[in-house]
Amino acid sequence: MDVVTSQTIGVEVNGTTYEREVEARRLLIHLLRDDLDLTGSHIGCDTGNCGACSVILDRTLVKSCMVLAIQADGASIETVEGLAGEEQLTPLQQAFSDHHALQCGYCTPGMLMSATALLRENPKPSDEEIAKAIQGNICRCTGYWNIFEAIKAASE
Amino acid sequence: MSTTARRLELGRVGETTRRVDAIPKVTGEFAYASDLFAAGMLWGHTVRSPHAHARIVEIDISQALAMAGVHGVLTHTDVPGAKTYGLEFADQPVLAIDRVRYFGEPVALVAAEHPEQARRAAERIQVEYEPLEPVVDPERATEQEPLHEENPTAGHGFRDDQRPNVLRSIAIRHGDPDAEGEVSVSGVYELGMQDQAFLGPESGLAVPDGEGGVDIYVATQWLHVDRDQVAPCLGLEKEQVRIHLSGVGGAFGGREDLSMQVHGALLALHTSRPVKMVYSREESFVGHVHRHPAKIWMEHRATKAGRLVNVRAQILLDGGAYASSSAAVTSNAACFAVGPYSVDNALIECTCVYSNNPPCGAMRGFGAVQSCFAHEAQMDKLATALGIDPVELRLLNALAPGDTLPTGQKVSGSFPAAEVIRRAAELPVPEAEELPRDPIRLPGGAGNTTHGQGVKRGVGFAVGFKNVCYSEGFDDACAARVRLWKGADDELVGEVHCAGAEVGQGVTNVILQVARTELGTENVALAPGSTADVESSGSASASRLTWMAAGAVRLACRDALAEFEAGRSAVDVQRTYHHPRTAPLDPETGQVKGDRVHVAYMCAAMRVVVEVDVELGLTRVVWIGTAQDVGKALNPQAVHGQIEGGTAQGLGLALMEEIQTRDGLITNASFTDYLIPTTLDMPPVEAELIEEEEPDAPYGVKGVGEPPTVVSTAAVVSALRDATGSELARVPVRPDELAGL
Amino acid sequence: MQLLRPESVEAAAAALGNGSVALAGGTDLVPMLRDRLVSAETLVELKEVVPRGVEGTRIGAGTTLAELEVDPEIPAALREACALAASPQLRSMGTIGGNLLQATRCWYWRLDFPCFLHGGSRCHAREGAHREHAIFGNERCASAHPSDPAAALLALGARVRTSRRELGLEELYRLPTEDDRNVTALEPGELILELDVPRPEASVYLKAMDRARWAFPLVGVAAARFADGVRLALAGVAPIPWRLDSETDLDRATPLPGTAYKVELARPLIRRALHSVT
Repeated sequence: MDVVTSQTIGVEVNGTTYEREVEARRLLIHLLRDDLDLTGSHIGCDTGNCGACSVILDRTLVKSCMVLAIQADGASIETVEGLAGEEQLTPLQQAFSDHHALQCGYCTPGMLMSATALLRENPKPSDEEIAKAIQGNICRCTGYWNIFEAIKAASE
Repeated sequence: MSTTARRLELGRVGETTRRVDAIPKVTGEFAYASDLFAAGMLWGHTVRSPHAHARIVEIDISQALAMAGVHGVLTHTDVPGAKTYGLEFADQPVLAIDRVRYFGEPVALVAAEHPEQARRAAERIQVEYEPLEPVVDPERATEQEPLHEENPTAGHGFRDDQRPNVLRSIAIRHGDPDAEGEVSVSGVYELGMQDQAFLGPESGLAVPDGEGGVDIYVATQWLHVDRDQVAPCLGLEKEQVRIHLSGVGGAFGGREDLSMQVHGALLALHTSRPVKMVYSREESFVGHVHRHPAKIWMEHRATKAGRLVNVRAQILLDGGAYASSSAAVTSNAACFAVGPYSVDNALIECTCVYSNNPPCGAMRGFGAVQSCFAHEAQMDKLATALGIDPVELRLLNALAPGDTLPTGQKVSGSFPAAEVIRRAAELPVPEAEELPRDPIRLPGGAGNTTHGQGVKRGVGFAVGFKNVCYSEGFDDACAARVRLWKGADDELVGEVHCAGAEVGQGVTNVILQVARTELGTENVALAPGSTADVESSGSASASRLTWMAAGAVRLACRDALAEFEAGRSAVDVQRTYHHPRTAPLDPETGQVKGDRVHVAYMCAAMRVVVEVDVELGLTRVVWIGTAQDVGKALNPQAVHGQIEGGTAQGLGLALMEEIQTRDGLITNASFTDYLIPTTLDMPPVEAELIEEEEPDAPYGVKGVGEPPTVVSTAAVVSALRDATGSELARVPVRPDELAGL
Repeated sequence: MQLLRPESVEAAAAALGNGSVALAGGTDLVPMLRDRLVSAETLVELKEVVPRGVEGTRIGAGTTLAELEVDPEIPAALREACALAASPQLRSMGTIGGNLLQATRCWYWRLDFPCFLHGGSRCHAREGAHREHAIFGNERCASAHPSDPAAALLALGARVRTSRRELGLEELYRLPTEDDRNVTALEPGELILELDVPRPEASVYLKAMDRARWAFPLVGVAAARFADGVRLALAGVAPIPWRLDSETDLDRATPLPGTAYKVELARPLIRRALHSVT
């Protein structure tokens, strides 16, 4: 049986492989933000509620404040930093910009990851499917409607 | 996934322009205060009181100091300068001295190599408390022992009120306060304590400059007032403390007071290392002020024909342990108690008390939100009593330019209250959707609790108003600095400095749109906000920043351009804009001691459709239509965004949001237990912008952030009343109030 | 803190206890570790040892809620209850076994008051703020059980296979007593491995909450119709998932002043659930 107090884990984040020594208690969000300097994923509540830390872990949308970093050993992770190409936004990112789907922007990376996961599974979601897909992401600025419109526009 | 090219949109005043921060925010590059990093930085942690009210007997830091990785542990004895600070009254200790007055009050600080070390060390600081009886019932506060030995707000020109724990009291006497009407309605209304719940918790980085001074990078609403509070506590000159705006994850009033600024700076100067502090969400709930809970009695007297004759109100606000901006909130609650209606007689008394509850202060619509909930409930009640259509009743009494407010101020400038009422009332209400429907389109939402059983529809209406900019004689100003030079192709290049805080509301675009318009070029950049480069902009609050920043940037651009056109090859101009001066209220009569107590007013009307499952008490807001007096929309898409977001916060207060306290302790300090509307709770908002230009303002603008929040709580509850027939005198209205009606 | 990755159920069970805590999806445990409501020197990861997936009427305890909510083979009540738990991100992580064992949201317990459930002598909620609390079984502890799937499984008559025995869901839960403050009958080191969920003729789960989505149940009602009658179970009304025979059982509720509304809320909700399955 493996006993781990700290261990070297390997993760692939946005196509780049990283090896890092992490303590067993370290959360994935802290690995991303503090060790890998990927600060696009945010901490809004640290209780799994707000969704600002949402990332895609092995093709599954999760809240990275609820995952221990060592649980992600060997995993492939996508964060907001991996969405855009060098000079190109994804249609979803472009739609968020076009539709004023953000104000303070703190929730935006998590919203984008939830919406990205939705559109991969379901490129033409219904209105209800869009609303349900971002139910786990809190936005305090926009009243959600422009976010909804942006996702809808990106799906068309 | 296919991709499209990045675009950068430019634009002038009145055009919809793309947020200049949109791209960094959608790519994750935008640096929030919590993302800051400095080489060799330490992590700060705050030790907070577990009691709402206690005497501090002893603080023993020896164990914590001895722990590995710990570089500093500070208590009140380590505060080199002023021991207290505050936005208006310096009544709040930097670190508690001999007494704590609220749950979560800062008592000591730790700096350590790692956040976990700092937290563990904080747990080893031994504070011996002797618990004291907390003052938690605002209705009894004026009969209990004073929480501050000397009343911090005494001698500031307020009404002389000798009762213990009175933070501020106001009486506005207008006309004949005893005037009788033919019909009278009255009620008692209550609002719970709301949290701003901005999504990015308090955070900042303090960096010592090696010469005794400090640079503080922080998410705040007002850089210069932070500096003016921090410097005296550090015993430094103002110039030695430089505050720089970092990325702000929402504010809504909750970042107007200091959070980590002094604490981080104390630790940084003590350790000679950069110190970063980041609050958890739980800490954020005790780390900033909240919306004042209120209890409001109102009586409306009217003629049978529906003309208001006399409005009488008694308003009680719980200010919590320290003053923050309670004095302004008290004034607002009193000044706007009647609503945007013309009435010849009024008697309005408003008292804000100190207590051992969490401190309250600024939150979007401060004071006006509370009063609007009460006066609009009263207007509905009066309409019912008189058998008059509620919209007609409001139109009949609508305040107009030239009318006199209860403070004696005559409404000057633009004030299209009747127009916003008419336009909102004319918005077509959508037909009830057919059954069956997806559960998320029924009351109870995803809970699948009804297929239509028990569901009743209700339509509500409300009107609200509030002032824009600061009031009561405050010398409210905003500075901007403009540098111009000739660029590569002999083209004019501009650089604007303005400390106006971008908190998400979009002031960056406003500033750039104004500069482009005035300079006639697209080659304009906005420098990062810092106290080191430019004078104060004033606060990102009171819906003032569009007006004030536009005024300042316009002024500076025009003067800079004039100098440039006079032949100077490079110019650097700083100008300060002032809005028309206001005057204080007479402390005894509440009458303005000059032309105006407020600069100008803005109003909004809102129509709301709800469905209520009256058996289960579950609700759904179906549709919201609103007309808002915006003066001139500088960036229409952003104005709509403010209206939608502001409406969502008012809807939250109407239906679910309340900080729960028990003996002064917050019991629901998490987003698991303090609920905020999700996307499924929020209906579409159809907004009409009423553009009637404000003559005193640059480009005719007004503010837009607060009116939707002022009016939406009242409008949502009006609709719930229509659906249920219940009085619903307290918000939030949750299922336990509605079940089994 | 350390993490163990046992390769067998026996090794996992042997590693538990004495400061070791089981880790499955982590959605309940991780925040409790942070808040120090649970202290663990060792986490024992169950991912490799607890079965995952659905086979006939059997559900591996490691199956995530997200997997269950879209599985057409699962009875509707359980599917709906899973879909109504937490948010999509958490349902992709949280397992059904972990969900059955999640801790109460009672804020006195969460704030670490020395309450009955923490081993103390009184229930602070009874005399304090208790709007979200229990109307049944609340004499010593008025906390409310937060699990939606647990109520659904109780109505469905599910049975649980653990690393030591097989028992009905009704035997899994027990009210805390003077001698034992746990709300389950699991012994130290005992792991839930599998559920056996009978197929009803019809079933449903209805949930009343404080907002349209993603809140703990004020009252959740699960109803399942079998050949011999309808079984009812409620979430959010007692320290454990609570069985009722019929709506009239609500007359025996013992609400606190602040929870009386839950009785009124439960009545129409039960009627609607029964209507839906019959």
